[in-house]
This record gives sequence, C-alpha cells and structure tokens, in this order.
Amino acid sequence: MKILEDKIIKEKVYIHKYGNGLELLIIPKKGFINKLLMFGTRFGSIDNKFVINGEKVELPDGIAHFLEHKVFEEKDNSVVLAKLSALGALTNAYTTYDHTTYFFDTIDNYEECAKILFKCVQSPHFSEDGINNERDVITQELQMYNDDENSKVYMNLLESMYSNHPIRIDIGGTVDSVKNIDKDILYKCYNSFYNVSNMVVCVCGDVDIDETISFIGSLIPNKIQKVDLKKLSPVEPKKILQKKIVAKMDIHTPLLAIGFKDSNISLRNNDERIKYDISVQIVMDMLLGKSSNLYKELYYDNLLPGRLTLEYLYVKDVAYAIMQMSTTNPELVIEKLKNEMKSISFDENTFQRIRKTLYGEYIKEFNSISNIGMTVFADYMRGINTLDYSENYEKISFDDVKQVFNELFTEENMCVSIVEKKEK
Amino acid sequence: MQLKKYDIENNITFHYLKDDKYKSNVISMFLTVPLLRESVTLNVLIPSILKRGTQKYQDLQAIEISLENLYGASFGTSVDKFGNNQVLKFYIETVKDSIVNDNIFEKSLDSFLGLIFEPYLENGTFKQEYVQQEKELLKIAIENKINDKMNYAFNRCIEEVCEEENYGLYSLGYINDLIDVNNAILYNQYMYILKNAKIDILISSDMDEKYVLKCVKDRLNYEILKFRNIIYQPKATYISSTNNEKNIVEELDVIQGKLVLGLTIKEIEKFDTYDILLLNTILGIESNSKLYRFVVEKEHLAYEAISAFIRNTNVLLVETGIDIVSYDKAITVIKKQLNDLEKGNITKEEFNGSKNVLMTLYKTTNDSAFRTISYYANQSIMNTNITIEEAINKINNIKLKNVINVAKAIKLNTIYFLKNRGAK
Repeated sequence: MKILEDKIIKEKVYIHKYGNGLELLIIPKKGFINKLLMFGTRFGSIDNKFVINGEKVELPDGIAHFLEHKVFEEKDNSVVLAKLSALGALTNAYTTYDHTTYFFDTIDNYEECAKILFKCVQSPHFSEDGINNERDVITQELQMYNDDENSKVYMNLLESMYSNHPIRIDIGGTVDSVKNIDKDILYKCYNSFYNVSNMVVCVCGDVDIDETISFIGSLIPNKIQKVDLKKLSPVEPKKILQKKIVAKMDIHTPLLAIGFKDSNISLRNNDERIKYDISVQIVMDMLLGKSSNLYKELYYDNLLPGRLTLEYLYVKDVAYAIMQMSTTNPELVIEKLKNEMKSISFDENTFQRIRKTLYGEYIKEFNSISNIGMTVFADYMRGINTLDYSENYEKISFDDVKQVFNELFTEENMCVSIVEKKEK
Repeated sequence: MQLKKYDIENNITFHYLKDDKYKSNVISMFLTVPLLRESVTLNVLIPSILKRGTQKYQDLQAIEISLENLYGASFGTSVDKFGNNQVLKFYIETVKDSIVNDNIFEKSLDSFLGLIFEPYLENGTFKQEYVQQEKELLKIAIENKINDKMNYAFNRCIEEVCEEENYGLYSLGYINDLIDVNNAILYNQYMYILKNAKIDILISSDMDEKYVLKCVKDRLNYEILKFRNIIYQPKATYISSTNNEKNIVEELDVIQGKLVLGLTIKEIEKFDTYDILLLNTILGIESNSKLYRFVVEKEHLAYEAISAFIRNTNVLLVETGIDIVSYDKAITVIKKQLNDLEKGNITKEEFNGSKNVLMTLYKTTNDSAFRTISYYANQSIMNTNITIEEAINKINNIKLKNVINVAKAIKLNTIYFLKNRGAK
C-alpha cells in the first residue's frame, strides 16, 4: 500500500492495488459524518478510437456518456438510482473527457449502498427499448446545453482550437450522433473499458483503512480478465484550426472565451504537469485576475459586468488555458488583452502574493468530502496525486512563471469564441 | 451541531460554531430588512458599492490585494429574497490560523467589518464615480436575466404567482428605479439599513468562543449601530389560492421549452413545515421522487424534473425542460403526480425513501460550515429555534396522512411556458 501525506494540511491518501488490478483510494476524514464512494473507469469522451484484442474500433460521439446513463438500468428495468435514494444516499454519475464515474454520498446504509452500486456497475443490462428511451432523455440533456450560452461559447472555442483531437466534441455528443448508438456498441465499450483492471474506487470519509480494503475487495471478482486494450491518440497540429468563432443567441450581454492551446503537454512528466498547472494559474491571475491592472481597467470601463473565470485544464495528451467572461464589448477586451500581453512587466511581489492566494484556495478545497473525493479521483485518473500539489506551490519560481507566460500566452496559441446577441 | 447564540449590544445577534474539522474560518453577516418595491433595487446596489472601496483600501484593486495577502481570503456578497424580507449577505472565508501560522482570523475580521462599516466616502457620502458605475453594471445584470433561460422561466413564474405580493419582485430590482439613484440617496439607504436591519453575525472557526466573541464585540463600536430600531418581517409571504389558473406562454429563441408550474398551499399555517418539505421530496427532489420516476424515467420527456418549496412562503414550483411539442403530455404527467399525492397514492418505498433523502439533506448540513451557518441564519430570520437534530427527529416522525393533507391543500396557480419564437 502506498501512503501519500501532506503534513502541513494534515491530509493522507492511501492507495491499495488489488490482485485483479483494481485500484482503491482511501481519504480518511475524521469528524465528517458523510461518506463518499466513487467507482469509475478510465473511459471518457476522448477515448473514441482504440484497439481491443487486435480489432480497431471507432466510436460514435457521446457514447461514454450514453453508457454512463445506461449502466444504472437493471435487468428487470428497475432503476438503481431510486433504490439508492430510498436508502438515503444521494447518487449520481458523470462523464468527463477522460473518465466516467458513479458515486453516492451517504450517512446511513453505506455498505448496502456500496453493494448496490457495485452490482449495477459490474452487471448492467442493455435492451433496445431501454436504449431508445434513454436516447430521448439524453437528447433533452443535450438540448438543455444547446440553450446554455456559457456552454455554447466554451464548446465553440474548443471546436475552433482543435482540428482532430476529440476534445473538440461535446462530451455528450450531438442529437444526431447519439442516434447511432445501439446495444452492440454499448456492450463493446462496456466489455473493453469496464474491466476492474481499468477501474478505480475512491472512498472519502471517516472510515477505517483495513476494513475498507477488505470490504471493497469483497465486492469485486478475484479473477483477472485479460483484455488487450490500446487507446489510439489523434495527431493534433500545434496550429489553431480557426482563430475566431462568433455565434448568435437570444441573450443580452455577449459572452467571450479566450483560449490558449498548450501543445507541449505530452512532453511533461507528472511533477512538471503540476508545476505547469500552478504556473499557468498564476500567470492568468497576474494578467487578468481581480487584483490585476487589466481587470481594474476593464471594470472601470464597464466591460466586465458579470463573472470572469480563469481556468487551465489538462488531461493525458491535451491542455488549454481559458478565460471566460460576460462582456459588453468582446472585441475591445481582446484588443486590451493583446496589448497587455505585449506590455506587461511581471512584478515579483505580485507573483509571491498570487502564489500564496492559490495555495490558500488549494487548502480550502479540503473542506468538503465531495470536493476532496472528486478532486483526488479526477487527478488520479490523469496520473496525478493531488497531495503533490502542496509542495509544488513552494517550488515554483518567478522565472518558471515568466517562462510559462512566454511559452503559452502568445497570439499564435490564442483563439477566441464569442456569443453575441441575436438581433430580432 | 448547534451554534451558540448570544444577543450582543445594539440589537445584534451573534452565533458561533466551534469546529475542528474544516480548514477554514467563515465569518458572515446577514442584514435583514423588509422586501419592498421602493427599496428592492437600492438594496441590491449596497453590497456592490461597499465592494468598491473602504477607508483603508480605497479602490477595488487595493481591496483585492489586501484579501490576497490573507492567503486568498474569499469575500462574497449576495442579496436574496426570503419571505417578506430582503437579506443582504456578506461572507469572508480564510484559511485557519493554525494551518498557516499567521493571525489571519483577526485580520480578516478587520477587513470584513471594514468592508461593511467603513466604506470609502467623499464629502460624507459614497463616491459619485463608483455609484454611477455600479448603477450601470446593475442595469446590465438586470438586462441579462433572459440569458439563463431555465432560471428566467423560474423567476417569471414566481413573478406571476406572487403578482400581488412583494415576493414577486425581481431579485435584482428594476432598471427604471436606477434612473434617479444618486450617491446621496444610496448613502441614506445604507444608513437606514445599518440603523434598522436585523443583524446576525455568524462565525465558524476552531478558536475559543470567548476570544472570538471579544474580537467581535471590541470592533463593533460604530456610532451608527447605537440605538438601533429593528424593522423586518418574520411572518411568511402568503399567496391566496385562486380558482382562475393562469396560463402564460412566452417566446424567446430556445431549442428546448422551459415549463414551470406555480402552486400554492392553502392555509399553510395549519401544516408543519417538515410535512411540506417531505411532500416536496416525494414529489421532486431526488431520483426516487415521483417527478423523476415518471417525467424522466417512465415517459422520458425530460432530463430533469424537479420541485422546489420556496421557504417562508406558501409557494411550490415544479420545473422541467422539454421538447416544445411535449407540452400537453408533460402537464398531464405532472398533474397526475400531484393528483396521486392528494389521493394518497404514495407507496411505502416512496414515503420512507423520501424521508431518508430529506433526513440525509439535513444531516449533511453538519458537514459544511456554510450550510450550517445558512441554516441557523434562516432560523433566526424566521424567528424559530429548531436545531438540525430536532428537524431530523420531526421528519422521522411524520405520518403519511400529514403529507396527504398538505397535498389536498395544493392549488395550481400558474402554468408558465417558455418556447421558441414563432412556434405553434
């Protein structure tokens, strides 16, 4: 068993690997009454091409998400969700770019809930009728996002930034692409990816380590199923596909998303990825964070009436930084940002202060069972140990940050997406 | 977990939650005043103007830098409707002193009180430039209410149901109100609030209670707080039942229709609040609810279908996003669920399972400082004194007939539908 520890914030993550390949993460949280259990697989929306036992498979868009919806259906058509709720567990599932996870949090009936969840994830039942019904539900989910301007501006940005990488496709696919999903392809995906050796369990709460290891062990098969699986990665050029995209929707104030394509992610090891992540966040805060000169200027010009989010996202072979905001004049904001990128001189005191701020925010993540569990789980799925972040806040130097700025925040890597008001 | 409650000088209530499990301290202040047509917009402007500058930090950049220096203290505000009241909420969250070996708590308390009680003034009033700008930004925010279509539909339905009541006022106020606002008017309103609001200060930290209480008392020696006269409305908003259901159909450019049903509960004072909350849970909170099981799972009309009981009112809402052509079907299915509740068609599983869900929601409040604080602040505003544990106990003892009695008192008031332009 591997134990990771952060002595300053007093957090530990225990990692146990079973004989059949399943990995278990335990995050003990003394004093909390709620327990979170997550059971997930390394199968997300970007895993759309792979070779299984020598056969090459290409998947319809949105299938990982479709499969996530279907796993909750049992043989007798009863739906597992209601059973878990009735026991007092709050249950859900989600699909990301690189993984799918099923989870619940509960205070009572933890073991019983775990048994139900494990059973349904390990023995789902797909029928044509059930698939057709679920397609209607998923269509409504996709249409809900199609009406959402924030999701539109974000998706358009990725679609313009990437030429080949499946990150440019919505996790849920499209209303058309989900029409091509049938029973056979769902079973093929399930059999390829939902093998315990490709899966991870995470338990977060006031639990005993040994008991948890033996309890989870009792819910999974001992046998190792041999699957020869190879995910195929697309070849993605460094160049941005289309530098600018504009859409129109029935909204009032326009939305703007500015992306920076990071093409060097595959060259970095895990430690370097963590450092890069923190550095990009520092750069973005220094450029456009609430204490920056640019933010002040935009705010005083009434250009930032709503929320501003600054985010860096990375998974195995794809990474980008994104600045998203509601703004009365997207073109002017783009111009001002470009000017700021040319003229900014970074100040070391500001760097120190922002680094401290981000460290404080990292610590605050550990306030809630679901935040901790989900962060640790998502990081683990992309090969990262969350607790390694702590010491890297210290390690980052002012020079690292300047280097990241020069490398990533260039006009060449930049792409913009705007959603404007539709004139009637 | 119960908060210790003290009445301190000047008609201020102090609540303290001693905790050892979170990484952060939370300091919050709730200022409660009556929700009135003439002051709704002005009150929304108050936190916005306070965030612009304090006597110590004269603009928003200086404020932000001071917060960043406290390991990224997060300061937030909101102005919410609660029954017949409008509540101005202020929060600051900081990393605990014990983690970073610094006296963050006292420094953050100074910043927090500075932001509320020591605004930046010129010639004895708010700075003209700041007021003009915040008016402009609020105008944009109000215009943006159409952006989030589901939320827009939800608010529009409340507006229709509460046509005659102040609760129907739009939470951000009205553009026309802004025209005549100047710095003197806004400053007067600010003084009025400090003089007349019900003030609750709620703090969660790991420090000694006496020390925290002293820290607060020592600092609350502002002249304006002397001889306060509290004006607020603990009584709930009550909407009379109607026999004329309203049918409202509006059009915006949407792909998916947004359907909201506004319901009222007749003679609500006859029922225990927890009976109503349990009814709401059986109807539409989790995946074992009637709405989820029938609207989503059985009829696959939607991705989500939920109900919400608006606390401190007698209004219950049902909302869902559907294909525009499914309008009639969706209404039939939703009405059937309400009818089944009234007729007592509630299975044992539904009843007990929903009790479990509701109890879980209450129990998990104890795992979040923000939720615990919010719970007790609401208790204080409603002038009730029920602990979380007592609430759980009450839920556990609810009889089926109580829920049926509530269901019998439910009357449909408004059906609101947002559909695409030009649709039949």
